[in-house]
Amino acid sequence: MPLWECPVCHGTYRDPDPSGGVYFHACPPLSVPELLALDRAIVLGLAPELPAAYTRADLERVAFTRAIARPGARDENVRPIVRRIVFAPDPGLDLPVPPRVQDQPPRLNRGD
Amino acid sequence: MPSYPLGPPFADLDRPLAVQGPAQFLFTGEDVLQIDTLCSLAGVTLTITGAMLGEGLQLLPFSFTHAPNSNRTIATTRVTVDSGWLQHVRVIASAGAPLLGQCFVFIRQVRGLTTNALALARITSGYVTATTDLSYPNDAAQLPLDSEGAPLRIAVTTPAAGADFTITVPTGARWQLDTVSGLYTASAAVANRVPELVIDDGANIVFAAPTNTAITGGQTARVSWGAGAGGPIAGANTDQTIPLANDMYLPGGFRIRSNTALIQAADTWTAISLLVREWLEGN
Repeated sequence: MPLWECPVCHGTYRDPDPSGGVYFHACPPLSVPELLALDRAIVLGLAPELPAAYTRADLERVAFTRAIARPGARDENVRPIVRRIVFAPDPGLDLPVPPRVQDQPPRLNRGD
Repeated sequence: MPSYPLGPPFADLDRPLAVQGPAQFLFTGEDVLQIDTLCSLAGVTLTITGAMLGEGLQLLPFSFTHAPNSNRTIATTRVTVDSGWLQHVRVIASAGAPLLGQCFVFIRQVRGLTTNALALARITSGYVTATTDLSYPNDAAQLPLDSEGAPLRIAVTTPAAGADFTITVPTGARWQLDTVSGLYTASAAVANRVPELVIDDGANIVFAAPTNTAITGGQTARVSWGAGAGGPIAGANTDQTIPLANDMYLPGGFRIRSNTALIQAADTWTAISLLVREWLEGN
């Protein structure tokens, strides 16, 4: 069970997981300490509802009401595709099929 | 006893004759046996064995293997079998040890060998496990959301210090969330942390369960949420138990995450586990 590290959020996880299933990591939303460590312009871009001179209390209030997505967040989950059991070729099949896994930087192998 | 010819032509008979085949599914040379699987476990191989009843009452056995995907996407194998009536077919897990709820099999009759094959019939379908097979005839056909689901312990990503944990219900899965538990270690920084469990669909919150006792600087607390649990309970040893809604079914894309008020930069969530019951919805 190799241990992996996400290069974006630096979370660590095992894949496959201890039950033998494939594990799909997704980065968590930004926490308040992480928001405090970011440049204010970036934070205001991520949460425009914040006042320009926001405080920790403002960040707590916004983070409590909605998840603030992490820039460049990785999501290893398979991208959903709606499949239909069809009798004849489905015109939708002519549409370009998106990649099943999102484009993202590779995860880091931290050994077993 | 009348005797009937073993095959056509019947055109010269002087009265209409209905001929009942010896089994339900007749395969001509154009018909193909298709195995479709949904699976959430790595290392599973299925072996499919059966027999066709061909001309002259010949039994024509077949056997082949199929490798399911481990990411809950559908995997398909199409195999040409001999012409005749399908007498029986059996699917077993010849490698791997799936639980009920982890490997679902559709056995289909289709016409054609490519992805454009025309599906004609679902012969049977159901879960296979390390100790139970799927057989036609005799087994009642199931759909993937039937059965009791697989009880699984899921280890969640350990987030970096100062961050909350999150996990997304995988694409193609349906979870019944039973418990969530994690170890919260508060740094020495003075603050009253209040962990909250949040369930959302990726954006919209559908359920939130906060603790009712703050975790203070220097404390370590095992925080557990459980369906049907009493409480909230703050143990004398600083551990906490918080009730969750019963029968919370979450489809793929829903998130289970913590949102800790006044989390400090050096606080950590570790040893985070879920207990879920999983069914395969397919994708």
